[in-house]
Order: sequence, then structure tokens, then C-alpha cells
Amino acid sequence: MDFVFRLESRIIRGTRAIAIVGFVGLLVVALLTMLDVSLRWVANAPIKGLNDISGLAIAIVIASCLPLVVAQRQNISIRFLGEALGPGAARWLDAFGSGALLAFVALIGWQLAMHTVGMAESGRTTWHLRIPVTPYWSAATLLVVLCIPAQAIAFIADVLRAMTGAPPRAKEAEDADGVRAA
Amino acid sequence: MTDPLIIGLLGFAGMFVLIALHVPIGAAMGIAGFVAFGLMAGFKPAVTLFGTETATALGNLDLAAIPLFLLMGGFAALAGMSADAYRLAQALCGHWRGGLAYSTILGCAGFGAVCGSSVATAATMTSIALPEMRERGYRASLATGCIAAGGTLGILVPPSIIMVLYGVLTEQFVITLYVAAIVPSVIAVTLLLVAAAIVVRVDPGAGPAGPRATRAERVAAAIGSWAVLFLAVVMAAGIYTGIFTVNEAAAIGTALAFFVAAARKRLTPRIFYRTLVDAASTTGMIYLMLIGANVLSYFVTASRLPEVTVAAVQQLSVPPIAILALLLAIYIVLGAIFEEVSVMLITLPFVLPLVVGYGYSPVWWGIINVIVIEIGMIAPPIGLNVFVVQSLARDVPMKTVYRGILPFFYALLLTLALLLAFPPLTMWLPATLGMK
Repeated sequence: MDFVFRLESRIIRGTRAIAIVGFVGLLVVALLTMLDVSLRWVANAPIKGLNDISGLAIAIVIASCLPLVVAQRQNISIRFLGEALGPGAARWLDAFGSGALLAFVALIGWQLAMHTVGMAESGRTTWHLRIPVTPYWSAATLLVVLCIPAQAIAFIADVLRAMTGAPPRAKEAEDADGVRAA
Repeated sequence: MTDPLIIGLLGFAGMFVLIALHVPIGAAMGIAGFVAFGLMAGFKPAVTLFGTETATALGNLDLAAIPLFLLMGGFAALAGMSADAYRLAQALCGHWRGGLAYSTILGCAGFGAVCGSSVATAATMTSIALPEMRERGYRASLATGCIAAGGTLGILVPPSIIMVLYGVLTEQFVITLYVAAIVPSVIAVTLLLVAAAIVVRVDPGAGPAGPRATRAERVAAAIGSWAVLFLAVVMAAGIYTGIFTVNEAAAIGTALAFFVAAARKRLTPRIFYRTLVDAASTTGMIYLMLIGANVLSYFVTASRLPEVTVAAVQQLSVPPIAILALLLAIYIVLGAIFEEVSVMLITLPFVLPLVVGYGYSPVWWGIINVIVIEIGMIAPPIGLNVFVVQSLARDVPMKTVYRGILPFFYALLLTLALLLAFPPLTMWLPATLGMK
């Protein structure tokens, strides 16, 4: 059981690292956009095709933060019923919610993969620079698919907690990482 | 059972059941939408919605303003811009009775002009304004109440993250929403200031007057707040004059806030990473809800529920304003149970056709929606801003925070009533500037 909880903490740290890399990319896009606007305004010479690059980068950036949300359980849920029924029932409800989220991210990951396969078959490129979109969308899809194992572990951990009455995960993760979640 | 309308209603009920069973709201919307659409049109087309709607959300460049504004808000707070805005307001009106409450509200509005999030505004202003007010002997109720209420200005004063979301979902220009929000923002700020003034008039001990800032102190405060003023002016001037788009404004704001934070030596690696992680987790949370909402929206449209509801309601011969008032009452009740962004995502597919069916502008409704969300953010039992403020001021009982909020809650209700009764207050400026 401890193995599952340790794995859960490692997944949180891993997904956090992925999100950091993704958002450093977002910062780079922001800096390039500022340069583009400045060049356009001052010298009427914008960076050619920046929109193409930004479009591809943004998909990866957004995909990079989805595993983090899943692993850290930052999804918004309403917990009135659990509070009314008591801690034991709340743990089982949490496990049910976790299972439903697993089904949701599995459907998203599977269908996005199919969508990306379709994109690869059609040989889609960007509008101006004619960059093939498949490698970038494959990367974004891979990041989204990472939500599935992350949530599967979270689900197993939630079921174990419901069975054993272990305390909620959020506090453990906070203590282990020393960084408060957003 | 094959009637799309019945499936639609059951799908909607199923979503609420899932939400009650601790299923995250985004997943509940997505699963309910998928099952209901599957029953109507077959599960093969239904399952493909998860691929297309996810790809649409990830590839939508307009939505990219959301993570950028979140990041900008994070860097701006880190750079101390919220403190700058507060200090400037404090230097100007801190010597009046209740002056620090006015400063807090004005500081929130000022910081709201460089940060599109209410929670971020409330959190940063709590750490800055609350110690000052308590040191000056302000009552905890007024101090916490004005911060929680002032924090809501983060989503009303442009740029606003929720308006980006609304604009994308309803296919309205975000810039039109931003222009439409200007007059309502002024009204909301004014009425919040009036509420604070009434509190200190009724109870002078609630917010004692402080020493008057000297001319040199005022000049120093103005100079010290150059960064927040510069950022707000660059963004507003750039967006409203058309030099750059909303997305570009978000990117430029992020870059400038990052530079200011770096120049002020506030960016240690640990804090830098934490800012990125905070922005990333909020972004991911919004996007997962958005994907679920898009699947739900697809099924709602296919079920014809909105058309049938609009037709049924219009047959009642009830004045449109009464219907709107009822909708807003429902929103406030929902806002007290649900998190505010999710309220908008859940209800928009049903409510917007009704409002537009009565001939109201979707832009006007967007602003009304944001004001209602603001009210929900301070309404019991789960006003998000109240929790944010209370989590940072743990010695203040929740009851005290809610008591302090009451005058500001009424001020926001009055703002809502004014905008509801006089739509030109919202639509005049966009119309004058030739926007629809």
C-alpha cells in the first residue's frame, strides 16, 4: 500500500516538472510575441509565421498542465454529500469520483490519439510556414495520455484509502513536497 | 425514452447526480453529455466528441490568453505590483476615515487592471492590506470584507480571464466585452467605495483615520507604482487602440511583468517554479472543465432543450425582465453551491439562447454574468474569495468575514440591478466605438 502512495507522490513531482517545462515554453512564446509586436510596430517587420509556431506550442503547453491537475487532484468537485455522510462515506465517494475521472481522461486520451492519427494521415501542415503538425500534436497527445496512468494510480490510492481509512492525499503530498498546491 | 428532450432533461439531471457523488465537475459534464448524446445519436459518434472537443480546446489560440493572463498575474503579484497599487491609493486617501478600506478597493481595481483573476487579487491584497488595516485598528469585519469584495474586481476590470472564456464560448469578441466592462467597473468600484463610506459613517471606530501623506510621500508613491501604471497603460492602450490583440496583450503583459519581477530580484528559482506551477494547475483545471463543458454543450444543442425552453418560457407572457431576474436569482443560488466558472460553463448552453431570444445582447449578458459571478464569489456558504481571505487571516472567524462582506454584497447587488435596469450603461461605450 505504501508503494502506491509513494508512487503517487513521485507522479505528482513528475507531472509538476512537465508543467514547469511547458510553462517555460509559454514564457518563451510570450517573449517572442512581444518581440513580434515591437518589430511590427516599430519597423513594420513582424516575425514571419509566429502565429503558426505559437499555435503548435500552445497545444503542447496546455497539454503539459493536464497531468498535473489530475495528479494533484485540482479538479473542482462539490463535497457536500460526503461532509453530510461522514468521513468513511466521503472516502468512498472520493474513490467513485476518482473512477469517473479516470473514465473521462481515458476517453479523452484515447479519442485524442485517434484524432491525431487522423491528422497524420491527412498530412496537415500549418498555414504560413507549412510545418507538419503531426509531431507537435503527437507530443501534445502523449502528454494528455499521461493523465491516464496518473489518474489510475490516484484512483487505486483513493480506493485503498477508502478501504483502510487512511488520511486524504492532499496533505501528504503537501508535506512530502514542501510546496503548497495552487 | 428516445425523445431527445427527455434524454436532454435526464442528461442534465444525471450531471447533477454525478456532481453530488464527488465526480469532478468537468468530468461530470463530459460523461453526462457523452451518455446522453450517445443515447440520442449512437455511442460511436458520441465518443468522438472527446477527441474533437479536446483538440478544439487545445488548438484554440484565443483561449491561450487564459494561461498568459494567469502567468501575468502571478509575475505581477511577485513583482509587488499589487503593493504598489495599494500604496498609491493609500497615499491619496489613506488619511480619511475608512481611507485604508478605500485604498484596498482602489488597489484591487488597479491590480485587477493587470491581473485577470479575482482569487489572485484577493490573495495578494490580503497579504498587503490586511496587516496595515489591523495595525491602524480597523475592525476585522471591515478589513476582511472590503478585501474579499474588492478582490472580485479582478474579473470585472479588464483584462479578465472569465471574459476570455465567455467570449470564446459565445463567439463574441473579447475586446468588445472588455470595452463593455469599463462603465460597469467604474460603477462597481464607486458603489463599493460608497459601501465602505457608509460603514465608517455608521460605525466610526470601524476604520479610524490615519496620518495624511506629505506631498513628497505622494510623489514617492506615484513613482514607486510606475510598474503597475505602465503595465496597465500599455495593455489598455494597446488593446483599445488596436495596436495589438487581446492575446498579444496577454503575452506582452506576461513578458513585462516577468521582467519587472526579475529586475526587482523577486524571482528565485523556487518562487519562479512555484509561479509556473500555480498558473499551470489553474490553467489545467479550467481546460478540463472546458472540455467537459464542450461535450455537454454539444449534446444540449442536439437535444433542442434550449429552443424548447425558450419557446415554453416565451409563451408564459411574463415580462423578460422578470425572467432575467429569476435567472439571476438561480445564478446566485448556484453560485453559493458551485464554483463560479463552472456555474457559467454549466448554464451557458441553456441560458444564452433564452437571453438572446428575448433580444438582449450576448455582450451585455456577458457583463451581467460576470457581476453575478462576482456576487457568488462573496456569497455564503462557499464564496470563494471569502475562503481565500479567511485562509490567510485564520484568526478572523468566518462569521466576521461574512458580516463584513454584507455592505459590499449589497453594493454589488445594486450594481447588478442598475446594469439590469439600464442596459445602455453597459452597451453605450461599445456602441459609441462602433463595436457590436
